Amino acid sequence: MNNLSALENATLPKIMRSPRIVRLEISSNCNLRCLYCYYFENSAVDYSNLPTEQWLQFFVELGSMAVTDVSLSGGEPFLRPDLTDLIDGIVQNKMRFGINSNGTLINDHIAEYIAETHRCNYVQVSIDGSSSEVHDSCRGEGSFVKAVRGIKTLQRHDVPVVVRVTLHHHNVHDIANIAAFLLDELGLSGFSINSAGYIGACRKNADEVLLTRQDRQIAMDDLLNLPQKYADRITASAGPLYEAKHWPKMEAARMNHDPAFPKGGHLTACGCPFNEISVRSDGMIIPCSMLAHMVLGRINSDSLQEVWLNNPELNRLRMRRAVPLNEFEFCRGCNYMPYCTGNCPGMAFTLTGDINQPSPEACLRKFLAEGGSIT
Amino acid sequence: MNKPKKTPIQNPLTVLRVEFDDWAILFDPDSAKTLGINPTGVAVWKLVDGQRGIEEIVEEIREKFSDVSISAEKETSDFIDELYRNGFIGYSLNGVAQ
Repeated sequence: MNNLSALENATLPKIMRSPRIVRLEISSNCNLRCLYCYYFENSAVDYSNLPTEQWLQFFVELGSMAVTDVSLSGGEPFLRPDLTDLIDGIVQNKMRFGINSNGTLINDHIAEYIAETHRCNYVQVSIDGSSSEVHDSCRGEGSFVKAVRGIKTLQRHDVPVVVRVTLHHHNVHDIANIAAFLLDELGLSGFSINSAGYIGACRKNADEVLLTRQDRQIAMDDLLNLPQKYADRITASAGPLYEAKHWPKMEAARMNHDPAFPKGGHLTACGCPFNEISVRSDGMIIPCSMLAHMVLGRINSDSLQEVWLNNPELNRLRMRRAVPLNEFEFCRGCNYMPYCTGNCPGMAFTLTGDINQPSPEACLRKFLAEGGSIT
Repeated sequence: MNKPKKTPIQNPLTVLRVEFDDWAILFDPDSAKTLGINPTGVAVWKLVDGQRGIEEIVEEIREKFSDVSISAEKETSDFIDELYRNGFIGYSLNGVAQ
């Protein structure tokens, strides 16, 4: 069933005049083909690239809207030969930036350039293992050595570097080693962790890379049992670590018959449409990379301010939080409902074909029914 | 000889980002510092132009808002000090930025 009535009757929450963050997929090219990549293999996306001047024109608009931060991703941003020109445009328009990268193309020249802007919030590098054998299993031969070299290059130039670890079937037994490698050997202050999701290229490689229920259990248990010196330095907003910490709170609340959690019982999981918006490499404005099919407009043709404030589809996405979980067949009879927020709309779309559904991939009841346990 | 006139002036790098109901943040992209300000603060900010002194700013605020407190001059002065400490403004001497 589709809860259109709740959506139709919903009131639009208060919206900021402009997004704080704009996420830009500046490159549709990548030198790697990671098996679980969310970006590639999306039939709704035109994998083409805008010329420099179109991005620069758009940065003027972002500056005039007082956007404070942009993130550059792709594909692989460091494949853009005009990356320094784009960064110059960001700096000139009074914004700061972050870059999401596989790390393999970072050299002294670009690291020094980034450092000298004094506007870089972070360069995020993906590391999925403590060794070449593990990391390269999904990301391709030679990628570990190059990514680690990239991190060390950034560190040498005092560029803020952060690491994202994506858990999958081939690295789930390496969690303790990954923590030791990143936090002790590379000396990072922390890292964030998630798991591969059934989206993009991962859809065709799902059997090979997705965490099984047993893998997920191992990941949750291992992450909770890491030595304290590591545990406080690993963050997650979704995936096994988040679930290992959050699900026991839901279970305790259910046992105690506690009142609903704030935002519980409705499709409230995603706050992104209230703070940020994204742009594909072909210039199409989308709510988020996880909803790349949902075109809201085109940069330099449509006013971003107008899209941000008045696009009906975007506002409908914002009003999704009015939709109660108790109307979904999937949630019916679930005692965890008052403590659940329905999870990521992007994953809901890729798994169910409907954005206005709870996402089954992060469902506690389903996990337990399949034999999982929480401590 | 007249005493030199020292007036606050916006740091040209500072971004005023109005968010909800005229509440705003000031943002320095170089330092990443932010400061949340209320609608009166926004009005003061817009008058920090290197020409007006604090007394003149307060006078204009009194004209614009009906419920300005009697301590407005001190509050404005404190606010201007906070802006200066955070690098959002500088001072201009006889119209020349220092």
